[in-house]
Amino acid sequence: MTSAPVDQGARDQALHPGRSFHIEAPAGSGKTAVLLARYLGLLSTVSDPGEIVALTFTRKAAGELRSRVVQVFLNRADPDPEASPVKLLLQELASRAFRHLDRLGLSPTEALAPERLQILTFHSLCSQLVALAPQEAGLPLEFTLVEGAEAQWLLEEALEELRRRLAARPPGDVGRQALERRLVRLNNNWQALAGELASLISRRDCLRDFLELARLSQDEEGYRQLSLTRLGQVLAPDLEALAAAWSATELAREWGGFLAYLHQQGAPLAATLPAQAPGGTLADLPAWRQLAQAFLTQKGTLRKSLTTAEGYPSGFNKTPWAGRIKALPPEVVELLGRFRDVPPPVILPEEVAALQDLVILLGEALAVYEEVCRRQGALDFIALEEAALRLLDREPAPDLLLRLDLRLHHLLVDEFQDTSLNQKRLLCRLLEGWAGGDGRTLTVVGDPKQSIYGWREARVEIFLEARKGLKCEEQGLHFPLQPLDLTTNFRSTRRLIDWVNGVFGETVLSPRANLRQVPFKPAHPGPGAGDGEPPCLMVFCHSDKAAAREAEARWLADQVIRIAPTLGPEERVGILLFARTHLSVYLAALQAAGQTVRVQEGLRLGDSRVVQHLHNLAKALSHPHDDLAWAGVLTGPWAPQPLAVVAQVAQPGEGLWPRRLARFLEQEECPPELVPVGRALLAAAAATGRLPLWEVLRDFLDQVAAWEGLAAWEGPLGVANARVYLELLARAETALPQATWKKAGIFLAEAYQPPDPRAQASPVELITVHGAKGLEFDWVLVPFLDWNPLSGPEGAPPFLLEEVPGTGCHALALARPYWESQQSLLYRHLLRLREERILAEARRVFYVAVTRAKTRLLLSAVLPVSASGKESLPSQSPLTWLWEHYRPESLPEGRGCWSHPELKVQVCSEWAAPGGVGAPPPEVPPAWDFRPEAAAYRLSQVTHLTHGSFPEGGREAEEVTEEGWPHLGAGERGDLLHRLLEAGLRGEALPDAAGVAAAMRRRGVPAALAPTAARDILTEAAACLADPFLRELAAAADLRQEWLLEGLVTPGEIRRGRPDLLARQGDVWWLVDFKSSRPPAEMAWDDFLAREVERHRPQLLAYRELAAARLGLSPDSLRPVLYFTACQRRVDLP
Amino acid sequence: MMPEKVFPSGAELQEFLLASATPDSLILVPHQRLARQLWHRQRLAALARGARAWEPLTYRTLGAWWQELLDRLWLPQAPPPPLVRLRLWRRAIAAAPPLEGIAADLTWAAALEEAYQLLSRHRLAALPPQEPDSALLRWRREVTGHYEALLREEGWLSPGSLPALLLNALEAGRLPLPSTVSVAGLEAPAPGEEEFLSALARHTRVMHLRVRGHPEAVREAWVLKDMQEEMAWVAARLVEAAVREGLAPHRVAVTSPAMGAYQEDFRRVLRELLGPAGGPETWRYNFSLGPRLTDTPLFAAATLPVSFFVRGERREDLAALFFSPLYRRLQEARDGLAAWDRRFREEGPHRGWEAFRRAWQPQREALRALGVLEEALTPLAGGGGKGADWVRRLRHAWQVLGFPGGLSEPEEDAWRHLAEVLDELSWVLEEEEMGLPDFHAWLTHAAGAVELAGEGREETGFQVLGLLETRGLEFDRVFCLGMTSGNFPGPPRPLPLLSPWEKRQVLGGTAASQYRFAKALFAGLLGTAPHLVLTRPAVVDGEEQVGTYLWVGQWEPAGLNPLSTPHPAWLAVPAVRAALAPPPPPPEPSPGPVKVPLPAEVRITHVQTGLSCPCRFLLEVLLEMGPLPEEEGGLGALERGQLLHKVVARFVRSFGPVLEATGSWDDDLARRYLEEAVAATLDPQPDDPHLQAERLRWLGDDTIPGLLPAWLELEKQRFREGWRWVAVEQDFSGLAPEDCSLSVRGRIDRLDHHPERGEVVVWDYKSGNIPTRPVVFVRQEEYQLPGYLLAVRRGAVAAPEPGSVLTAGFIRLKSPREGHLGHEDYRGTPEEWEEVMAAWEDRLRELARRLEAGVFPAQPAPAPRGANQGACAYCPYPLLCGYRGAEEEAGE
Ligand code: SF4
Repeated sequence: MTSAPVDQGARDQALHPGRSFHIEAPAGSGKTAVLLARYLGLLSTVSDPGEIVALTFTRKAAGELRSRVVQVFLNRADPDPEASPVKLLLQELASRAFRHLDRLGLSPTEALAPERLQILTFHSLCSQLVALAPQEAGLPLEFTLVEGAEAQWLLEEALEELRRRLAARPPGDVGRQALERRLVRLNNNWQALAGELASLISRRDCLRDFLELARLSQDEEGYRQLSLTRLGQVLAPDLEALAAAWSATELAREWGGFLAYLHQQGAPLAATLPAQAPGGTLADLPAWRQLAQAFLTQKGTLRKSLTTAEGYPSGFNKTPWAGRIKALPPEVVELLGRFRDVPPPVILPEEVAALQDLVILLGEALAVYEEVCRRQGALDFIALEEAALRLLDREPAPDLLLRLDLRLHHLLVDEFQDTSLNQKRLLCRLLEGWAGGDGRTLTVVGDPKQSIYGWREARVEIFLEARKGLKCEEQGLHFPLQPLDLTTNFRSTRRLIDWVNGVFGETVLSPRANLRQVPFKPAHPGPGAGDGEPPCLMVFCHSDKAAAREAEARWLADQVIRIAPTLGPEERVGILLFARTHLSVYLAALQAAGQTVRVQEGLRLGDSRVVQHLHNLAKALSHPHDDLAWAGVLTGPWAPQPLAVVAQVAQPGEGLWPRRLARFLEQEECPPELVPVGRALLAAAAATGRLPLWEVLRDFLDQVAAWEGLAAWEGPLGVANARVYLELLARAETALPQATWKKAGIFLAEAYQPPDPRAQASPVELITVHGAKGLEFDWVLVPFLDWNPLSGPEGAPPFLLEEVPGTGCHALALARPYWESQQSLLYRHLLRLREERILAEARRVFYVAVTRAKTRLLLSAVLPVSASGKESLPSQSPLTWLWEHYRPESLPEGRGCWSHPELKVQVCSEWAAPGGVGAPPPEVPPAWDFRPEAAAYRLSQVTHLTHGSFPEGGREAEEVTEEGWPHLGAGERGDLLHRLLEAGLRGEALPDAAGVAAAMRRRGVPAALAPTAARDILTEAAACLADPFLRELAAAADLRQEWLLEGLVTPGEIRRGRPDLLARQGDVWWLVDFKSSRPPAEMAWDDFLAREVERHRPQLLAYRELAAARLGLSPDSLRPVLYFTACQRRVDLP
Repeated sequence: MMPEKVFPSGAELQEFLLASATPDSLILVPHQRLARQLWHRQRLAALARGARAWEPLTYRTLGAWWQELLDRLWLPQAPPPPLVRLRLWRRAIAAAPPLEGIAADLTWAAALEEAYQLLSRHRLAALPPQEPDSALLRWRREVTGHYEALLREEGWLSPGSLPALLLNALEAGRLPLPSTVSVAGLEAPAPGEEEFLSALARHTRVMHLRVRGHPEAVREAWVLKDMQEEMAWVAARLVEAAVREGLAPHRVAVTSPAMGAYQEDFRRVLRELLGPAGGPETWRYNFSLGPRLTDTPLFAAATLPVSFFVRGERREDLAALFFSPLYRRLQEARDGLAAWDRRFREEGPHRGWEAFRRAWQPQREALRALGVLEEALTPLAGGGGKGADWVRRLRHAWQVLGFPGGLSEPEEDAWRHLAEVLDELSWVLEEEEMGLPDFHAWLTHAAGAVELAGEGREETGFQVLGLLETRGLEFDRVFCLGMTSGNFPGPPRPLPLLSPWEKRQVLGGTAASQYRFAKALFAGLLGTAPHLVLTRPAVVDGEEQVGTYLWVGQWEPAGLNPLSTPHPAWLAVPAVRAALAPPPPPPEPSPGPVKVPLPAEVRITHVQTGLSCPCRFLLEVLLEMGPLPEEEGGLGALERGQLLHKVVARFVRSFGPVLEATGSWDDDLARRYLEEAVAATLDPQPDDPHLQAERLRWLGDDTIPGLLPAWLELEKQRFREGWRWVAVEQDFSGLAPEDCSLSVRGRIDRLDHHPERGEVVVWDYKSGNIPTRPVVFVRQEEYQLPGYLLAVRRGAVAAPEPGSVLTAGFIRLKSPREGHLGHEDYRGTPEEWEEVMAAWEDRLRELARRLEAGVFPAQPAPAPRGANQGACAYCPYPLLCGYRGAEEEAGE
């Protein structure tokens, strides 16, 4: 019997069906189980499961929750006595819900059908809503949601279109001028500008007021005002904090005296310092700047000596004033330091102009993007959210939900820490009209410490602010929530939990660490948790950073191959990476040690050499004039040729490469192994444009037995990469080869290599921390603790778009143009905000990484040392934060241990490569020999026996389309005549002209011409029916019209046909086939008839065979006849 | 009540039909595929009993039979064909008051038509609103009113009136009736259909036949990791069924409630596993449904003359036309057109029919294809016309351009359908005025409705078909993919043009009705084979899936990754065998000497290439293998550098003599000369925004500091210090060290002379980065300056004062920012320059020796290190040279 966890009370409370909750659930606390229990509990209180909606942010989370609900329902009737109390509770709740629905008279199996449970993502809810009312949501009628590479493709298409459109505008056009000026600022680099616009479009939901400006204003003032407002908003918190902190200092209190003293001493400084202590507005900034320059050094520290060089009177250092300056508290110094070297708080005209240019361009780009999306019926996630919001603006949520058959009573939101502003707005719309205590409930669950999706606009502040209730400003709603904290961590051992509590609670996530940090609450071990081992930290010190990294990678591989054999069947090892920076180094070491690992989204597909060659092959095929691509094909893995051969083919000469290659293949010096490859390549080139590109490539690869070459280059992974590339090419297919290749290039840039097939069963997974969120591993290895979250590949970003804390607004600042060396004031402050945000999130990423571990946690880092032996710790990194926590005086020599909480530390500079051999390749049995299937018979149609070609679509081949009936194909006219004759021979009266005319109209004859044409055709039919020959046949004893027959012609061949008419007169069976054709103008009837008889003879004879066989007669007893309706002549077949 | 017979399997249903039906009875089938399977069985039976001929039984779908009956009535009004209905809907939309967000386009017309059909089938079309209407619903009713008026006006039969009309004719005895009517597998008849069948039963024998299989037919239910594994696994099981269990492939079927999501991928899987569908004699598999006409390469190529204009007259669409193998006349001129495309990629124009025509005028004579192209496309450019006119113009373009030439069998099929679509459009749109985009929309819409036949044959090979199509069929084994709760039953249809009340009445409008329909379908599926295998993916797009709740049994896990686990079915695939038993890496192809004719002289910039990587020298210089210019938009760095060189040289050349003559620097004059040099350099293409941006970058304005005025200041400074420009753009040639077979030619950008100091400096302009001092003097990896110095020293260029102190350097022209602009002469001593020159000569000799020996190794200097690509930066040849060093280190 296990005892209850310490937070059992909160867990029980969370089930209360009438209350709303804000549940904070840290890593390992069984959040999903609590959510599940609440969901199941609510099911027994509603009159329809559709009254409860559970929203998640990812498909993964939705799928998991839904699947668990279904699982519990399936197992409810059969509880396992050994099951945990949680499991028993869930089963009990499920049984209760089942009984409840049964009592309500609902079929529980149907009502609880997985797809009727409203467990869905935000986006899925949005798309269901807007699909109901696309017009009201301002969307095209049909749309597809696009994401990832497909969205990227649309964006690139749109930007390309934008560039062309702007280039076509006259030189004075505003958009065109904005383009030119923006280009200049970016050193005339269109790619940089396109990247900038793409990035802004994909964050356009943060740019409402800027876009509004682009729509409305052509004049600079608006831009200047907006920039100034934002600058004020950005600086306000710092300035206000500074003013407040300053006013509490002694110096501030005696400011007047201080100034008087300076004046008295004739100190030049007196003239520059403000008369009053500055306040917290933008206008005060110059004054703060003066103060900062007077008191602080360039580095932002307090001046140690205050001399005449800085404008102080001589001997000032000895005055009490100097003491007061030196006593300025660190907070003041820190804040003051931010303003020491700032430019004046004005927005320079060039900044305004640059901003205006960018916003104008963005407005133009967005218009084109929206047009492209509309044309293709595509919708990205931002557009989807905004459409849903628009719709909810027009129609109250309850009405709209009713259209989905939903009467919303209870709302549950999972991973609430990942809510974006738009999603919060949406939530508020759904809650419109709700009041706390009215029976409707909202429950939000999440862990702010695991908020690591800032780049996807997740706002952890929304979670934090909602602790006591969700505030919906636009609706004027404050929906009260009862805060609940889950504090038990069921996942990890006591040692690991203590370690996280200590290190993260006191340092990494402590409020001191970062103003933007979320509060840390310590976790408790679950009942029965084992003690476990303390975590270990391995530090590789070396003067050569690359060498140290390799040593670290070898160590990592060594650990993994030691751990792997000790694992139980269900146990797993996770190698978690903060970034992909050194992934290839770690992977190489693991591979060298013979350890297979499953890599999720690790290596780029485009980095595979095999894939590069395939993409080049696709390029060559779709671009016959790309000499380089064609030359590259000759060096591909299918039959790589030395450069000497490439050079021979490439010798300048006549024609495109395909032609040159064809010539070379005929020459003696062509290497024999190139001949089949070259021929297959030329065949592939000829098929390009006729078949999908992927199919052309696959045929080529199969034909030249290229797969062995691919495998020889890159092993099974190379083959897997090539297959993924072919799939990617298929997805990119546009039916036009060049466009397909271009699109595939965009897809390729976004694609990752698939897991190595050899690692399929490996218990070791290499994954980014972001990818590992929601997962747990028995062993967790976290290398690269020296990761500096602020070190990006590029220098200063071309623009910064940051949320101004506490305002819900975003500020946009542009980087200096390439000819300037100083960044603007706004840019600098936004950069600081950005860095703060990134660092705060990076600390949480570290938290997520270490809390994935169930039993063991191994950390490692590289620490470069200078020639003098001094370690250079990165300014920011998980390793730095550990340093801040433990404050070691020095690193241990070899092994050591840091305490509070315990962390085993080992320091090394080298690590020997672990010995290891990979698993032997699997036994390959012989392949099954599948043979294609032969048909039981061949089926042919009698009509196909007619000689000569005839126009499509007609039942009867006719050569002449008559004047006056331009719209009626000869075949269709024949068809109508057949129908009329059939009716007449059946003894029915011929229809009136109107009926025939209507039939003709359906076949395209204009209303004005149809009556005449109908009369014509009726006249012809009547004339035929008046023909004594046909009249007699109509009266025959045995008359069969349109008689469908099949018969065996030769063994294995069945023929099918439908003779027009068979009639028995006495012993004679007439077999008549009607022909409505007529001779061309220059041909005499007799010649025409003779020719037609020859054409149709095989057909008629085949009918005769069929009919005779069916009637059990000899073919000779049937008389085949062709009857020409236009001249009412019959021709007997001799 | 009609008599009903329920069969436990499709096989029993079919046996009953074959045994009981007579030639004069009619069997109503849910789809033609059932008819074909029955005919097939009838044939096999006939063959088995040795019959020589027989009468196939009569099968119709209800819709086709109604049409036949209608034909027999010769009514004075005909039902309008689908495209006519769309045309009328569009007119109706235009006639109704506009509603925000709705255009009179085909999408809305099609949606209205769909809603109307659905409402008519359920007899709801004429009902007044049952609840307050939304604006959209009011609009729908109004447009529908106009539509019905148009139908009447044009004399068409209203589609909604059809069931009643037939019913009346039936009651009046005007319809020819078969002796018996068997209704097989009609699961959810609409009210009108039901009423007709009931009435029919009063006049002839009608029997409902249904299949209700038993859940025990589901012998296996498997969960696979994802859709890919699921398909690979099912494909392997197909082979297993044939090879190990001896089932005839055509007796094994694959279906899915989400065939749309599987079809294309599954086709690729079977293509990989089994090869193409088959040939004329034997078949491997059959897909009942092929691509839509609009998805075929033939359609994309055929419509290029139209889509070129509709998509904004882009170069790439024209290029697509040039390279399409289906345009015979253009194929013949491919080389010339390729050259055209190459040039236009570089120089533009990039769009605009008129701009293209202007630009190719000079080549028109030489390249007849351009004339042909004009003849074909000009009638499509701009203007309006009737729909039928556009059809004629497109056909004219095809004729002129020789489209489509010879076609393969599937292309023939697509081409035949396209011709039919055009014929139909031609008469449907005979009187409709429209622009080309509108015509394009019609064409795409009409062609989008054409579904081509899939590859394969129905009587041979594994059968892949949609779930609806399985109704009444029978096989030995059926695999059903994608049996997740999200796919089966399908989610309710959104039907935005129906009111909530209406949605509740129609099939598919609510979850409940989808459930009912799916339940009936599933019961039918259970009867399709005695051995059913259900499969589903565990995860789709990262989302865990739940099995369909129509199947309540256990799901077992299974897995198959053909590349990881050897599976005898997949081992026949070369890719799989290669992955499971990869051969050892082959030896690198032996380099061997490369025989290429060597030039007697090379440009000094090429020496730079040769010394930094011999392989690149071979490819770039000797074989002149340049990359196809990408139309990236904008000017490349190289092009910008060249333009800037031109401006500066032009300026120095024109202003230099003025300086010499006046002896003083006049700012205004200098500026004027500078502006003239800029204007003269840019003027040929004044419209290009990138060139205009370049002008702004060079000259600046109120807010942008110009690069060149800042440079001018520096030059003025140097002038004042006593420096004089003595030569500009001086060509030299024949520069060769002793014992070196290779001579060098080049051009010196500028030579400055300081008469008082007796110094001469050779300047090279650089708009990008310049090497550092150690690169020049220590690593000696700068390969142009020493050449220039030698050229001056050897007298290949006339030096102002022989014996002057000679140095060399770069004039940086990157931006006006500090460090981006200025004269960098490296402060090298004469001795240092001597060393550099000697080293250069040695290297040149070495290069010459290599070239003669035909040795061109991929040896970049400097070699790539970490993020720094060294000599490989911007090199377009990595695939050709095979150099691997660059991959080794990832950047920190
Ligand atoms: S990529 Fe590097 S090694 Fe290869 S040719 Fe270019 S410069 Fe030489």
